[in-house]
Amino acid sequence: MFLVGSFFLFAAFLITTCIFVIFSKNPVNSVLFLVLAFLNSTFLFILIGAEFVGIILAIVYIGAVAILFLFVVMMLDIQITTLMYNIKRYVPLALLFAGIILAEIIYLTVFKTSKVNIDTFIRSKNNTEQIGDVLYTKYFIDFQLSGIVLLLAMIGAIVLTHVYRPTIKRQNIDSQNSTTAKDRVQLVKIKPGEGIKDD
Amino acid sequence: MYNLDYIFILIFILIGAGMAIAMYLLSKILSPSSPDSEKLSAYECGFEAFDDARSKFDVKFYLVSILFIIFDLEIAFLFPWAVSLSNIGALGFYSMMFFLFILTVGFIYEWKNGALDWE
Repeated sequence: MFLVGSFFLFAAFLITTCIFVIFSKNPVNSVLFLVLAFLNSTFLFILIGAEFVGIILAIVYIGAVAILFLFVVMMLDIQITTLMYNIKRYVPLALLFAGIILAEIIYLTVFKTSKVNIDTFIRSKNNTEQIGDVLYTKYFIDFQLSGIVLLLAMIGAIVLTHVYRPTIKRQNIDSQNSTTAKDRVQLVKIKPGEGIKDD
Repeated sequence: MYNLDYIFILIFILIGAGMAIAMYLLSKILSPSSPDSEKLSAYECGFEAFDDARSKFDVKFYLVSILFIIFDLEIAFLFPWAVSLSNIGALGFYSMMFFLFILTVGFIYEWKNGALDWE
């Protein structure tokens, strides 16, 4: 009863925040509502016993992906009025994608999900251990592929955005660490009337 | 199956949300409010506002956060590995070592490329 009640609470919150993501006029507000939607889906994952997936969703999606969305929104440099101007153009495309995703959800939940009562599952191990037991051995190839995808993302981001500017002065940590007092301070005895010769 | 361990977190969330809503509503109801156009407009040291707050900024911030996400995901992969290291044997151990090696190659690349330096 409690579980069902909290499921409906979080599901209702999730749908409400998704509606706000679409309809808020300010894109920054949209991203913040998206964070709230991610948070609610985290709660839903925890509710079905998938704690690890839920926490990873919180860390990766809220902590990183939503921040990236905020960056993108801030880089858009679009006035709010121009953004709302031609929103009707995208309605057919949006309906198409929404229809496809709805069909997928119906297919997965109605035809593919087995009718086993979830309460009869006895979890001998926790969620994190269940993932860890198969991810690195049974799904070895997929795991390494994800590593290569991450490497690709890293190199792609650097190649696309990083411009090496050789003219800019930068910190040389090696020479800073290897410097001695002799390089910095020189004690000179000055005879009267001669001054210092500048090296 | 019932995750009643988390009921305390739910209670904390509800209390937190309730307190936030209560503070907002109380300040809405109790405090005196007489807004006018001067009070609500942007105040910039007595000048008129120079330009809009929405402006482009350097793409380097984006680069730093993308590199952060990648290593964030790497750490996320390490957690289940550490939990079930005793079950998965040598293959599991060395698969993670290879994964870390791939990402270390990327890390050396970005370090040598100067992507981590702030200019």
